[in-house]
Amino acid sequence: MDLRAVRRAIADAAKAVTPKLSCHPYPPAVLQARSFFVVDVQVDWDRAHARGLDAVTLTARLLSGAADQPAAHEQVDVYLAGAGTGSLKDAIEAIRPSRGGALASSGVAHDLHVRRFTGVREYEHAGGYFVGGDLEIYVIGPGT
Amino acid sequence: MAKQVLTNVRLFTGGADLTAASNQVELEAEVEDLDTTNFASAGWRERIGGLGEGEVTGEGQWEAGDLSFVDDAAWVQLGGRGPWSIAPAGAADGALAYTGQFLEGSYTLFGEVGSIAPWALTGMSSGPLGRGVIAHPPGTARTADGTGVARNLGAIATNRRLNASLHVLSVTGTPTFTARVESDDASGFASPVTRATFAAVTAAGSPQGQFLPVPGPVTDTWWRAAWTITGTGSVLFVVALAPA
Repeated sequence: MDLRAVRRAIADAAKAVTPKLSCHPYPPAVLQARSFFVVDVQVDWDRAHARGLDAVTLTARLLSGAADQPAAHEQVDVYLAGAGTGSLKDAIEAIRPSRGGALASSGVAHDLHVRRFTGVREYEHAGGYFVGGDLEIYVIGPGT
Repeated sequence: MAKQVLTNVRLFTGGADLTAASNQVELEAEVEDLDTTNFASAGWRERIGGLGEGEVTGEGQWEAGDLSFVDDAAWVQLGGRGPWSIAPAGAADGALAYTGQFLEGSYTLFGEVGSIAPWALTGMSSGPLGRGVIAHPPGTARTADGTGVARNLGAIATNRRLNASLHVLSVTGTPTFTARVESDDASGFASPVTRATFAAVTAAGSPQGQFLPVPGPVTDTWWRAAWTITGTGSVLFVVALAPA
């Protein structure tokens, strides 16, 4: 499983939400107020024999806006909706094979699941303060 | 074979290679404990072995699509008997393998929301378990007649047998593939004797598994897989040979 391709696929999928987010597969050098990027990766190799399956848990960070703006705090809840145009879960899971997405046919991974969101708090990045939290995204794919 | 971490246990059942979709495989061999204690046993129990039986359990990630996937293969084989072969450290030519005929008595699928869709299979042995080798590995497609590497598996005594398992993993084109088991008294196979011949396989009947017992007594000590392919096409298959 090519983690670079997994990160890009998730970042590209997140671009479907509205209001638009600046989506990146890696933490960007310059951060915009509404951003989404993959910050952490945990890899569980050998979930099946003969390198048949690896499982990856990615942590993606949502930053909805400047921490001193009340609207930014409310915007976090929009992105955490279970469905709708603002739902990050819905947008990312739209690439699942069960929903006709291109995740499996593109060879990137077998499937993914947006499991949870945690930690609404202020984050400091490059001198600015933003409000947001972390999404846990579980991805399974071939070990080779 | 040294101590090892399990990462490459190969599991074949019927015409399916379940290796890359399995994360737990257990093989259990048990002999019935029969008490023969008597007054002359000096105050200690005495026992002899009775009937033996084996059980294979496998678990992993559920997939479906054709008979090479666990769901299709398991559903077809449920309640039936067929070959199961397990190799603890890869399925290269000559690798250690256990094989036998098993009744697929249990197939469990699906589980908790959010989990990777699982499967679990249980096979109960029908006949003796064998410990032997992979006599033809899974990764080499064959398009013409041939023979495998000669392996010294020893003679087969009276009332014992050699377990021979064939797992046809895929057939492309329109070949007719027939595998057999041969023995000889020397590694050069100057005068091979055919001990068992599997039923012919064509594209229409693939993937599939076949099991044949080779009964003793056989004084030959060298064994190999051999095959003929007529028509046009290629076949991927595994043969396991194991004295039982």
